[in-house]
Amino acid sequence: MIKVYTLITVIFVSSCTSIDYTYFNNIKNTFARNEINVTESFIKNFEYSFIKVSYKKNDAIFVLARVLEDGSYEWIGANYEVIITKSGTIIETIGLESDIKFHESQLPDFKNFKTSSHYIDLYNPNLVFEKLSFNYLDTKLPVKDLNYDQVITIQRVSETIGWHSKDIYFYNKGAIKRSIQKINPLKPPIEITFFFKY
Amino acid sequence: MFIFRFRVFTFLICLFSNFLFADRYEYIYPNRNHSFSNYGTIGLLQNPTARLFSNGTLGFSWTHNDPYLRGSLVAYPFEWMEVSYQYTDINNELYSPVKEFSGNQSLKDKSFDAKFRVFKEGNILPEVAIGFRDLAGTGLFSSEYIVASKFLTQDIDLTFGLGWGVISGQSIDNPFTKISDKFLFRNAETGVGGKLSNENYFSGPAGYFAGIEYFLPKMRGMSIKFEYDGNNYNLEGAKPINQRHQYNIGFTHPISENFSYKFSYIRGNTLSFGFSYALNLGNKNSQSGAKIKQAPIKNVKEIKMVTSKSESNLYKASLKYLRDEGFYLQKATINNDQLSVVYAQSNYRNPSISSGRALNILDQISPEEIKHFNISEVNGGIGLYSLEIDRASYQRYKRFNLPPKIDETIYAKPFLFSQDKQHGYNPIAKYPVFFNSIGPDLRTQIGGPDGFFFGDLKLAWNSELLLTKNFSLISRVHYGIYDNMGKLKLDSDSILPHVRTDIVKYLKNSHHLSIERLQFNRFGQLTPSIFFKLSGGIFESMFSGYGGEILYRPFDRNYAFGLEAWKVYQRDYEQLFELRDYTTSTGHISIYYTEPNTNVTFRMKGGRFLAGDSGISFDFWRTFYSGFRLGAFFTLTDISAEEFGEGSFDKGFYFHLPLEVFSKTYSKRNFGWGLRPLTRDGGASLIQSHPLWGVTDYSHINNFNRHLVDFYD
Repeated sequence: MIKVYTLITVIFVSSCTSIDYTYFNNIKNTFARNEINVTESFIKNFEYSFIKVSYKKNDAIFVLARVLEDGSYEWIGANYEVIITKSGTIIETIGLESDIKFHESQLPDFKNFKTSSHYIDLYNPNLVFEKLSFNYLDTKLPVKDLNYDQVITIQRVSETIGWHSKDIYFYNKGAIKRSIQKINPLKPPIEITFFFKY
Repeated sequence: MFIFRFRVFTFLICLFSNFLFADRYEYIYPNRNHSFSNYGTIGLLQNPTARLFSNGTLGFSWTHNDPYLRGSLVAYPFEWMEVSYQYTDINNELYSPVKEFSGNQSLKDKSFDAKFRVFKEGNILPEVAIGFRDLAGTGLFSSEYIVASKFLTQDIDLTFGLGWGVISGQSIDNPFTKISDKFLFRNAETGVGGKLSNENYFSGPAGYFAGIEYFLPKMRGMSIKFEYDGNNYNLEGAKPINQRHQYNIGFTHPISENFSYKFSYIRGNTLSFGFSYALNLGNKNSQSGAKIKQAPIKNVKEIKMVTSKSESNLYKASLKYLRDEGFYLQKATINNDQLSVVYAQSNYRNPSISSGRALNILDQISPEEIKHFNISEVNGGIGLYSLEIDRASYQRYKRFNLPPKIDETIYAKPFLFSQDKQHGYNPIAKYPVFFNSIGPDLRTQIGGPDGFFFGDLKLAWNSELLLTKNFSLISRVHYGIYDNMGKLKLDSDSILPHVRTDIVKYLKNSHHLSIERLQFNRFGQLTPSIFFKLSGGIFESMFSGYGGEILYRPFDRNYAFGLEAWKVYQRDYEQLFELRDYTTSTGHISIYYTEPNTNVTFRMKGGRFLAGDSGISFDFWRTFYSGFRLGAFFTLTDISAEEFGEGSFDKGFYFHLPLEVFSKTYSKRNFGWGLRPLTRDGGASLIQSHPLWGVTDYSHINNFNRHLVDFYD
């Protein structure tokens, strides 16, 4: 028995590193979130407006590429994925796990509406010219802890494919700050946090 | 008559026109995956269907279906094949009538099922499959079937089949008796298992079965199953089971893409339930999404300015920036306009990805004067491959994200790593280098007469001490945390030397500190295609010894030859440094062949095994794109089935799951799992660390060709 403990001691003492917990790191990488913590210095380091996009277990940063003529914003990700938002609503995506495209970019102001209908294309699986309705559900205000003064819940409905989901939009002083929305009925929601630099 | 025919034709067209509104149907019927039956393979409730999951899928199914409790591991090695291994707890029968032997434990049955698709579903024709239940077990559930399944509409899947053996409840004349009289009778005796009972296949009375699966619209893949049961419950299991009527009904509800649960009411008197989990592990990013891309190096203009000043600066920059990404520079040389580097790495399991990432770094930091790159990879001092690429071509192809073409834009060659060769830059590595990690380890012993499950949870300390580039000490030391092995008491009944069947003694006597491995390895390379390894020390929990292997593995050929020879000494049960009296010599000649399209490798290993028996071991495995590997083996030696004991010959299956399948980052780590239905002494091979096949797995042109699309990943 002494031989065993001696051997282990010798191996530990002769090692040039401390115990490497790579095994646990690997497990952690496998199951943990890939989280991006947006701090004040992180925001300062960015020259342009950006959004933090959270989807499934991953966060990603998209930077503002341009503001389109109709007032929508085009955001570009690290792998050249594109998200176009209008008043916080995703109206077109390119290169995501599944994409969406609204046929028109004129969306209602969710802060003051009851219902509206639109036509969309969905990709992966592909479905073109599908009718999608937004229905107003409720408004909560203010949410002091989270620095939002208005939280609006909208329902997305497409009866023909059985899509019923809820979108949540968070505002502060009338400006969109955060949104949680589904762009595909079969996929989890996308959460976007907006960091505008005017 | 014409009008009648026209109407029939129109009806058939409507019936089989599955493609109308196909896009919308994918949303109305998402997860329209087929699901596992109560027998643990894809099917209805008690009846099988012709359906299969996609290849590379691994599933687990658990069903409580009184009097059975069944757990199944199901795999899809090919698009046309389903194989499963099940444990069935038969709780209306004791494990043994001798109470002293197994107490009150209920009977446990191990069985192996297989299904092969014959036709894929077409617009008119159904999907057809041939299947076998309890193919090589005791025969308690032994049946064969031919089954056809067809989607009548997008939501109704109709199944009809003929069965033999247990699936012959709704009796008809066996159609095969028209071919031969040998199909007239079926041997009803159950054996000790382990052998294919092919003399019984499709013999005896036949029966039919049918059913439908109805996928509910907009219910996320939920389906209702209704069937006309084909089983004869007087033939199944240990005792006849009462059946009130032949109609079964149930439903399956997928909670997610991978997990589903099910309820059913069968035989008119039994409520059953279960759950299943199935994952496609064959595709590289099926469970994780795309991997995180390499971050661009900052300030590359300034770096290039510095590296253009002197060769030394470029060497040092290569050392630093390669190391930052997990590439350890061994040698580097600048020859006119070519930068050559030799590196080792342990993050990437594929040469296309590792070389692509290394090139990406070198391209960013090298001055414009460098026009060509030559990168080579080594592992344990063994040269794996060498890659030459013209920098302008690399940049052009990369800009358009086009995979490079072997022998047009990149040239992959075998690589002989020589320490003596003169290089411009020889970074000094300080030896010894020590790597280690600590992790949990679980060992199990299931299905024995002493109880169904025995296990021990241990803390495993793995280490690798590199004494030189190609001389290392690998160790794996355990410390027990919890176990219930003390209740194990079954002694070996083997008449052969107890090289494996003393497993219970090894498990029971290694509660606390034990050494599983303490093995010295010396790797080397005689030519670019001939590799060798000399090893000594503690190889595994049961044997110490010394020996070596040599492998001839040409870089651009699909075959390889190996030779290994070992002198081994049986270890004491405590698994420290003491030895038992048994010693032997073992060795094999191996022939490997890899079929490049399916990436199936076949290995035939002939020689002398640990118990002194001689014979041939056959091993087949398929490596999927993700690195997920499914394999099976069997060994036939010069001992008789009686000498071997229960199971008749050594056999088993295994899988290796790369953990990176679940991760956004690359890693070489694997989770491995294997199962032998029975631990016996015949056909037993030595287990030793870092076999040459694994160490050199990288060094093959097929690995480049197969993953070239990942070159810029």
